[in-house]
Amino acid sequence: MRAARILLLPAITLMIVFAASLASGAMEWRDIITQPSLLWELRGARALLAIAVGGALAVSGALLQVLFSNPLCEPYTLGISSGAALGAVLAGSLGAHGVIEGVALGSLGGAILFMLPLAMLASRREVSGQSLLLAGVMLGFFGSSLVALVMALNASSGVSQALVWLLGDLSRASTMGSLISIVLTILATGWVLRRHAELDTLLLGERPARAVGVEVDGLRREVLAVSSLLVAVGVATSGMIGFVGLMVPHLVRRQVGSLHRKVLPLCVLWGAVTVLVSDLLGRILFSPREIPVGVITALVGAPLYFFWLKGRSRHG
Amino acid sequence: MAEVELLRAERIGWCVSGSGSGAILNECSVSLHSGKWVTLIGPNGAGKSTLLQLLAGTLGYPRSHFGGSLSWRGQDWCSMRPRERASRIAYVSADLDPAFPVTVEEVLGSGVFASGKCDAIEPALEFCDLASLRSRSITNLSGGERQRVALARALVQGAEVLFLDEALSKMDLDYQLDLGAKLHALVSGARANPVFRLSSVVLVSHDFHLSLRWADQAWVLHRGRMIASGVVREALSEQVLKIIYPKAVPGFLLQK
Repeated sequence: MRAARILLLPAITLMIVFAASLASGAMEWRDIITQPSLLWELRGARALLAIAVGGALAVSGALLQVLFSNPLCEPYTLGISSGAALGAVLAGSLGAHGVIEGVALGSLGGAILFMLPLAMLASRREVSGQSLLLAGVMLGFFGSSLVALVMALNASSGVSQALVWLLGDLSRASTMGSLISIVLTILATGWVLRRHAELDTLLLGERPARAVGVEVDGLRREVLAVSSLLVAVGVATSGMIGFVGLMVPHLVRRQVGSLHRKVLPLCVLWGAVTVLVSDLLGRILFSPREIPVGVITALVGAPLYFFWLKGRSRHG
Repeated sequence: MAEVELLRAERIGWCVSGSGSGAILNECSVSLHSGKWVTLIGPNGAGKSTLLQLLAGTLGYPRSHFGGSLSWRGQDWCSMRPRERASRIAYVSADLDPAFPVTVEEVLGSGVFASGKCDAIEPALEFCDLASLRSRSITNLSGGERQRVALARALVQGAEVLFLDEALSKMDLDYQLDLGAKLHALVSGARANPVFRLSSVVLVSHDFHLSLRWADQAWVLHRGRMIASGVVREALSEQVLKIIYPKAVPGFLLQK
């Protein structure tokens, strides 16, 4: 009962924003009524993708934060996104620029390739969460340098196109891709929700979790795999959309506490709302020009986060 | 109640790297009986925490690091599932310092993961005098209050044995003595409690008064080796004390 009430507000908000997102834009109302399928092509698939990506990023942020006992973690701190960027740029430079699926596949491959060494590290027991996090950050720098290298050596239009895309861009959504992303996000979230009690013990840190009998190594591998999948969904379909994975979990925890059976479903919903609103803003603020959604989330998110940190340090 | 051997460790060892030089523990053998309060004594870095975690099984038993054998009431301890071990032995470390705001009640709730039963939460809150703090976030509590929360969580685990690894160190004198005495009453059977079936405690403390106050037995660890164990008076001979605390012994310890 109470769970339903908690979910009600974000669910209604999401529906309103979804409707607003479908309704606003350059299309004439007359055309909308006469050609609903065109409306769907132009805005529906895109709105669905925003929902999927927002949910995926927020959930993977929440998971990674608890996995590494570090509230500053987000999907992009682990370097997995750099792998995805590298894959995308490589695919672009190899001539896949015409085919957006080529870039998407490239970034998926890159994400997986960069996740492997992390997963290998995570399966060694003497490696702590902190070392794993550092390794992820290093991997991120390594990936970004390789991206810069590829760009310096290859100035083809595919590369620059891939780069724009990596700023976080939902404009290339397809109905099929959006649906697959939504299904993947929901399945992955449901999968980790099974282990919500174990994740809750991990809130206290690795050692206290082990003390109540949680098999931390196995949990770590599973959660890392799921969050990588979620990051890959996000990056492969829409490039890099920052700050959602950082901000949303914090705001949700503030509202309902840290228990995962509440946090994870709410992250899906509020993450979806955040990206959908940002995309809507990006489309209408400087219409007919479009601002990539990643630019909006970072522009709004960074100052917000700064004020949040400032307020927090004052209250101790 | 007849005294039973709960946990038996034979020549257990733990090393960090494959070579012998990285050994933290060497061939330690101990036997833990019900109704006994054990004090584990040793200088910093002697391997006390490693020994306790190894006995409790929270480090797991990987072949690459672990050697020796352990049994619980005659059964193989190492092959039990971590959760089964956690419902028999609860290991409490000195610090509980989460990165996220978690309420006292939620921390105690995490102890349910081991026992599967929620009915110990209320008695544990009361036992550790935490009822008034129940919905506070532990990130806002003092070190001593957090230790009470950690102890309460261990009680929720429903374990027969508590390993208190400096787990009373930050509590004020009142709580140290009061909670210690209450635990001792449970262990010795002086006060039967329908909820907590605690039957043994192993305490690590650098406060000598505290560590000897309720102890029936002493285990003495020095550089990863068990150099003495048994009844307190016999295990803590002058000779042994001189080995582990060479500077403090003449002036301080022997006067007591």
